[in-house]
Amino acid sequence: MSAAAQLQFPIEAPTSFAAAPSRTPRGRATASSVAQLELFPTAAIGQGPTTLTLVATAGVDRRPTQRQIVLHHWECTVVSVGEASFTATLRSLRDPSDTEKEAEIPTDEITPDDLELLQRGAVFYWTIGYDVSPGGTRRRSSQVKFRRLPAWTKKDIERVRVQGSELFEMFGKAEDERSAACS
Amino acid sequence: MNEAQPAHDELEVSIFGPGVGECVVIHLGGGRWIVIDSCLDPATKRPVALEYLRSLGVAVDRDVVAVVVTHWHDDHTRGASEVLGACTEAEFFCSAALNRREFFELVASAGQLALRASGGSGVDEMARVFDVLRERHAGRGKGRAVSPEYASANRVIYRRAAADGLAACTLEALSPSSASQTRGLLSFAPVVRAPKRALPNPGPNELSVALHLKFGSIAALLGADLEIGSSDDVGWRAVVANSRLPPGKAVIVKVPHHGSRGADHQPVWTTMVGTAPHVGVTPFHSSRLPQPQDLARLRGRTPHVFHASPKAPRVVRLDRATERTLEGVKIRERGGDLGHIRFRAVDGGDVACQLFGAAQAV
Repeated sequence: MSAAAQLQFPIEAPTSFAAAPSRTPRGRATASSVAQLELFPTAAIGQGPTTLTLVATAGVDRRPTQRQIVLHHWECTVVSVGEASFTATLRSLRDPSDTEKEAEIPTDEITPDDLELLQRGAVFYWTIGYDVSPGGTRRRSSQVKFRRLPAWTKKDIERVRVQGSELFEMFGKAEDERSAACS
Repeated sequence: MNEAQPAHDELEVSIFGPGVGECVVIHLGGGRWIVIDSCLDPATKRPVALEYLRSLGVAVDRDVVAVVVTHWHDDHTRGASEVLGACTEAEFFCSAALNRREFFELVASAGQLALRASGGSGVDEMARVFDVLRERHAGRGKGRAVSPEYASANRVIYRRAAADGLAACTLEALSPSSASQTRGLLSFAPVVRAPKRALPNPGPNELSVALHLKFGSIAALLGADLEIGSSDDVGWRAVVANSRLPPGKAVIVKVPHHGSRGADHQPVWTTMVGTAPHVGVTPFHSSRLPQPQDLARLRGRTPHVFHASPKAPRVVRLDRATERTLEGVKIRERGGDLGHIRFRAVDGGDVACQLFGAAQAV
């Protein structure tokens, strides 16, 4: 095996997936952040049994790791932010046919580091379940993980301006046409 | 029961509200219809306007003459592209505030975030609307003939002279004012180094297209989400100051902005609305609108107040383990049950109201 160690995580069908760095209900980190992005496999969560194979590039901890049993996994969008709580829409990633939901969530559910991300339009993933230690001990878990969305780059903006101009040339109306339309 | 078509010479104003979102469907007489805004039926996930019109036997590809999107907030746009796509003869109207290069840049920026389960924003829906128009453009080859039409104060959206037993009918925009259009466009387009967001800046409600409908001697006021406004040249303050207001005091009112106090401008009621009008209000449960005091205020103005969907969305019962973990966080369905308020009247006659689904008298 190369330096890029290959790890295999058993998956408990249908409600579990490999251990992600987890947080307590109040969001304190409880696991190493090694290979964090790879170990939070949104795309790997499905309805049926599967085995997840992940490739980590460095710093692999070979000791038995804790697992997570997932009861709910939502993609959430912040729609409004209040002083002590915020409101978000919830869409199930485990059951796309499930109806859209809305939750008012206390702000203290968010880690201090993530508070700056708590704005209208921010996206986060909310996972409810159990952390299961290597010894089998279960602990309830509510993990809120904000998606750090990329910033607009100059290239993005140039592309948007070109496309926007094309649309405007096609559908926009000049001032004199607008005036003529009023009666 | 609600599948009974209106009479040939009968006005209908149908107001739909599923708890989050709203849609108004108007029969202009003579089998002609207009759809204003769009929302989805929570049960079928289809646009309520199409489902309703088809249930009446209306040929939407022929008989819908216009689709109006009063503003691009997602509670007014969901399914609008599907409505427009089905209503192939309809003109498309949106707020003149959107007739700016900056807005089209915002539309072009839609879709930059490929969220796995996202239902999208109002801008995403507007991007799909422009896709529909572009397809029509390509298919017909008539260029600007299929451009969107831009509504602002005093823009006539539909006009028909009295003929063949039908009353004269005019649908005219009351807003946005020129000042609203100028001021409302400062922050549409994305800028370098700003973080990408799943929901863009929503823009102010004063960009909404409020409408005045005249059907013979009957008038209706359709308030969209227009709010009072921060100065005399925007919002409802600009509307009542307009020296070219269309004639006729409304006997039917679609209450603006879900009955919120910020949209309730007393001079509107005294100068534009008749005595004891029939009013319909749609909720926006996410913001707890209308509030009890909003409904009480409306009841103080008229005994004929109807609420499209008064019951708060159901609290979702989750498994016990999750509920223990969440420690009192309440998760609700987004929106509630679909309600339908239907006003019908013939020229010179009284307004009749029928309620369907979750709708109730207040």
